[in-house]
Amino acid sequence: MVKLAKTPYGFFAIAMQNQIVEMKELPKDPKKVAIELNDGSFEEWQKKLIKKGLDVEDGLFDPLRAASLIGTKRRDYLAYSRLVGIEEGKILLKKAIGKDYIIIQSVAGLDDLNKSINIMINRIREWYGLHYPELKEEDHEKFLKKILDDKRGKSMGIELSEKDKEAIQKSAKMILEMYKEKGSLEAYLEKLMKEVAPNLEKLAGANLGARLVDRAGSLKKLSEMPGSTIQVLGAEKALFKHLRKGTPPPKHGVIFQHAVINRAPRDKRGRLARTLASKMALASRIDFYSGKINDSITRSWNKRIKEVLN
Amino acid sequence: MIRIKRDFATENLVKGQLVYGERIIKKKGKEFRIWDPKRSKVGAALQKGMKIPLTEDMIVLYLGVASGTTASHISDEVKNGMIYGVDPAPRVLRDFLLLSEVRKNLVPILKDANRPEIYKHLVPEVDLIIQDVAQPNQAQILIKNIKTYLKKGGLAFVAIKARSIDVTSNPRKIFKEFKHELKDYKIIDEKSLEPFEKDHLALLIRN
Repeated sequence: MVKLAKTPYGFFAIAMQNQIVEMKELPKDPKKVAIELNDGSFEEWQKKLIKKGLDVEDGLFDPLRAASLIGTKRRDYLAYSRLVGIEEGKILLKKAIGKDYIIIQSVAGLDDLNKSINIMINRIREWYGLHYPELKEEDHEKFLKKILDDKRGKSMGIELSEKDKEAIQKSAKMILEMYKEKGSLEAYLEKLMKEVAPNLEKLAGANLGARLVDRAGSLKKLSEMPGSTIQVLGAEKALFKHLRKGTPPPKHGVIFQHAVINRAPRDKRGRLARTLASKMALASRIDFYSGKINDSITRSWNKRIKEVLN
Repeated sequence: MIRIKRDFATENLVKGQLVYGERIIKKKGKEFRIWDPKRSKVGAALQKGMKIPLTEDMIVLYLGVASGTTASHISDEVKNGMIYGVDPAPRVLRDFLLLSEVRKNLVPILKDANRPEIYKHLVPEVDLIIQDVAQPNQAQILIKNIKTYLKKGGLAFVAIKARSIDVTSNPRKIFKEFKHELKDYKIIDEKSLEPFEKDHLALLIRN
C-alpha cells in the first residue's frame, strides 16, 4: 500500500514507513509548477503507478510532510507553496473569467448610460424650456435636434444670449452622442451574445439574455440554475416575502421583459413564464457546454405559446 | 494585538498600506490597524469576548476568505505562519490575490471548499480553520475540511448566518441543528454576533 502526495516540489508515492518509493520532481519554477499541478500530469503519473502494480490508497498524503521527506524545511515549504499558489491563482482566474463577464459589464454599462441619458434629458428640457416653453416634442432625440436648430416661433420664453445658447447646445450635442453610443453598445452586446450564448440570445433576445447572465453571476452559474429559479430572477424581494410570509409567489422576474410574457393576458403570463424559464435553462446549458445552435428549443417554445394562448 | 478603548487593533505587517479603508493608530513608532467588527465576523466575535488564539507561527485555513478583510488582520498576527485562503468567487479572489502579493503569509486558492481534496497539493495540516461561507451545507463543508486538514487539538472558528441556511426557519432552530451536526466535536465557546451582525452565531470548536 502506498499513499500519494501532490506537492509544489513534486509527486510522491510513500509507503508505510514514510519511505518514498516513487517520485516525480517538478521544475523549480513556481509558474511551471502551477501549470503542471493543473494540467492532469498528476493523474497521468498516478495511472502509470497503478499500471506498474502499485496498490494506491485513496486520499492524498500531507504535502508538507511529503516535502520534508526530501529535506524541505517547514518555513521553506510555506513560502514556496505561497509562490505556487499565487501563480496557480492567476491561471485559474484567467480561466474562470470568460467572455460572459464582458457581457455582464456591457449590459450594466448600458443601464448606466440609459440612466445618465434620462437624467440629462430632464435637465435640458427644463433648461431649454426657459427659452422656448411652447416646444412640443415627445421624442427625446428629435427634441435635442430642435435645440441645435433653435428655430423659435412666437414664444413667451426669455431671450438667450449667444453664450447662453452655446452652453445648452453643447449639452444637447453631448446627449445626442450618448444616444449614438447607446446604439453601438446595443449592437456590440448583441454580437457578443450571439457569440457566447447563441441559444439564449435566440430565445430571449440579447438584452434580456444578458440580464439573466448578469443576475446569475456568470453563464456557468446560469446553466446550473433550474428553470424555476430563472423564472424569478430579479423578483427576489417578492420571492423571499413569499417564503417568509406566505404571500403569493412571484410569477416572473426580469423575464417579464420578454415581449411574449408582457403582452400576454394576465392569467396566462405565469404559465408562459414557467415554460420560457425552463427553455432558457436548457438554452443556457447548451450554450455553456457546447455552444451549438439548437432549433428544437425555439420550436417547442413557439408550440407552447400557441397552446397557451389559444 | 492591542486594545484601543473598545476596539481591537493589529500591528500592520506592511507599514503604510491600508487594506479596506480601516482606521490607523500610531503608537511608539508602531502602526496599528483597527479591526472593524462590522466588517469582520472574527472581529465581531473578539469584541463579544471570544478568545481565539492567534500565534506567530500558526498555519491557518480560511474558508470563504473573500477579498481578505479579516484575513489581513490575522495575517498581521500570524507573522511567520501562513494563511491559505479559499474562495470560489473569481471577483473577490482577485482582490485577495493582489493582497497576497503584498503580504508574505497569504496564499490565494480559487477553489470550492465543498471538495477539500482539490487543494491538498498546497495546504498542509493546519492549526486553525476559519469558516465564513454562508452556504446551506456549511456544517458539512466544515466537517470535511476538519477531517482533511485540522490537526488533533486544533481549533475551528465558524460564523453561521441563519438566513443563508434557511430563510424560512427560526434562527435558534438552525443554530441548534448546526450544533447537532457537529456533535462529534467539542464546542468550546459560542457567541451571538449581535449587534454587529443579525442572526449570526459564532462557534469555536476543538478537534
